[in-house]
Amino acid sequence: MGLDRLPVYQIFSIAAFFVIWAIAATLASSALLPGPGHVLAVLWEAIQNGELITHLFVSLSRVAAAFILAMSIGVAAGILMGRSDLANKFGDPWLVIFLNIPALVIIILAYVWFGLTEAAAIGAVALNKIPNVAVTVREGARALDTQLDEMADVYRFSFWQKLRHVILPQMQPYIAAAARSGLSLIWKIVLVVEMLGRSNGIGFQLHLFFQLFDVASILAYSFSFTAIMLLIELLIVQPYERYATRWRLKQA
Amino acid sequence: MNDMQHVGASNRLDVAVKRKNYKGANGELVLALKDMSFSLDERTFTTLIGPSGCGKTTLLRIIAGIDPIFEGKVGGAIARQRIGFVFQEPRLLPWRSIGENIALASYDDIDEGEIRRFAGLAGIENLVDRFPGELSLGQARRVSLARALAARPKLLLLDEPFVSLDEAMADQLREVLIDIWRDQELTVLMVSHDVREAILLSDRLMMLSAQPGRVVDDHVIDLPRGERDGERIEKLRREILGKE
Repeated sequence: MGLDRLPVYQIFSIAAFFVIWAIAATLASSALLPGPGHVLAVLWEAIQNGELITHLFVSLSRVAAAFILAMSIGVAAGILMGRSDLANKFGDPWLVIFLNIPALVIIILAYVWFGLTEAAAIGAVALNKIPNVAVTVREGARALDTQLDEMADVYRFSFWQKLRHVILPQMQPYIAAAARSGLSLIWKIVLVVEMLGRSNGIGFQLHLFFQLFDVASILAYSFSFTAIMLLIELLIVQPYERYATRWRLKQA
Repeated sequence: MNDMQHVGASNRLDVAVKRKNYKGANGELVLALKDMSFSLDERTFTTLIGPSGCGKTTLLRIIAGIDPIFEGKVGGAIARQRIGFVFQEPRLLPWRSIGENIALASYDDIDEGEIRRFAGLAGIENLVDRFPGELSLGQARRVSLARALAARPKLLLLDEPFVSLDEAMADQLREVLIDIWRDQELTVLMVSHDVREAILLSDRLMMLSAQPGRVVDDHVIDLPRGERDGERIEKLRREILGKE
């Protein structure tokens, strides 16, 4: 992006947001609506005493674990359902049910049935995401080129050869799309899981500050977590998506 | 319905398709092939000629084992061996290089030198590092042929391999094919709609009827390949078509 393409309007818009916030905070002059300066000071303090970093790291680890779990199971289920009519007929009602159970219900039941454990927390987050991944990936598996499939059969490709050289390259855009939407859903659900049944992480901290009505800390913690997740999307997920679809663009 | 069996021990390909249906666009069953039966001897070059839509491609797919739902059987020692298939569309993996496309079709591990040898047989040795998107149709067909050879087949199936190529390119590729057939000790079954081409290349020419396809005429072409010039081919073509 060159200098001539600086996002002027976006910068102005964000600046306006902070100005309005500052004015509103001054007018209200209440601890329940701290101004940007105060929130920044609290954020700096939390970073310096190491608390924010610790909880941030815990939450990010849970995001990573749930993400990997949801993607592996979701991709496998999606490919299976896209390729096999029987698997699709069997699995489809399950997808419909799980797509429509509120995340909160799955989290509560996971904690009730499996205890307030790390496994229950991560499992509940992953379970919320698996059906979305499976649905997206299933679309990709349905669009697979049967001609290439037949070619692979004639030359007796092994299962792994077929997966690696024929199926996955065609699925990459769908998997990348599932990963991107998956990440943004997962990090929001992780906070809920932490709030309900964990004793560390950003969600747990937010719950604590909520009980203390410490709005400045709530804002400081949620801003920092959001900023990091946005950075991951911008710097890792989106560039990967462009990379994965590169040969398609070249062909067009 | 799938009673495909492999019988017979001779070095032949025995094809006996009683019935082959497929589901048409409106959901009705269409009879594609009926009582189609013939045998191919080892190391012969046979061409199937017939009107479009007579089930020629379907027949090749049945022989290759990628369409197992039919009544009848495909047998003979050759049927159980490796098969090379040059599809009408090149069917290359666009995300793999030409060399990788060739290597993937070989059943065993294959080294760089072997890849280049097979590419060389089809006259595309200089293209192994390129990607399919960069090739012309003629080049892609050659890759498809090189890939079929890399499978080290006993039986080579060709589905209209020269269609939509310009005449010069098609002639070049015909020469490549006949050299390969001779040197690699292959049994070739080709599908075409061009009688001249069939006479130029084959030992035997089978004419198929319109749908449902069956063999209506079977010619042995015993003119030595060196003597197959334009005039003699035209004379044979008249004889063959006159018989119908």
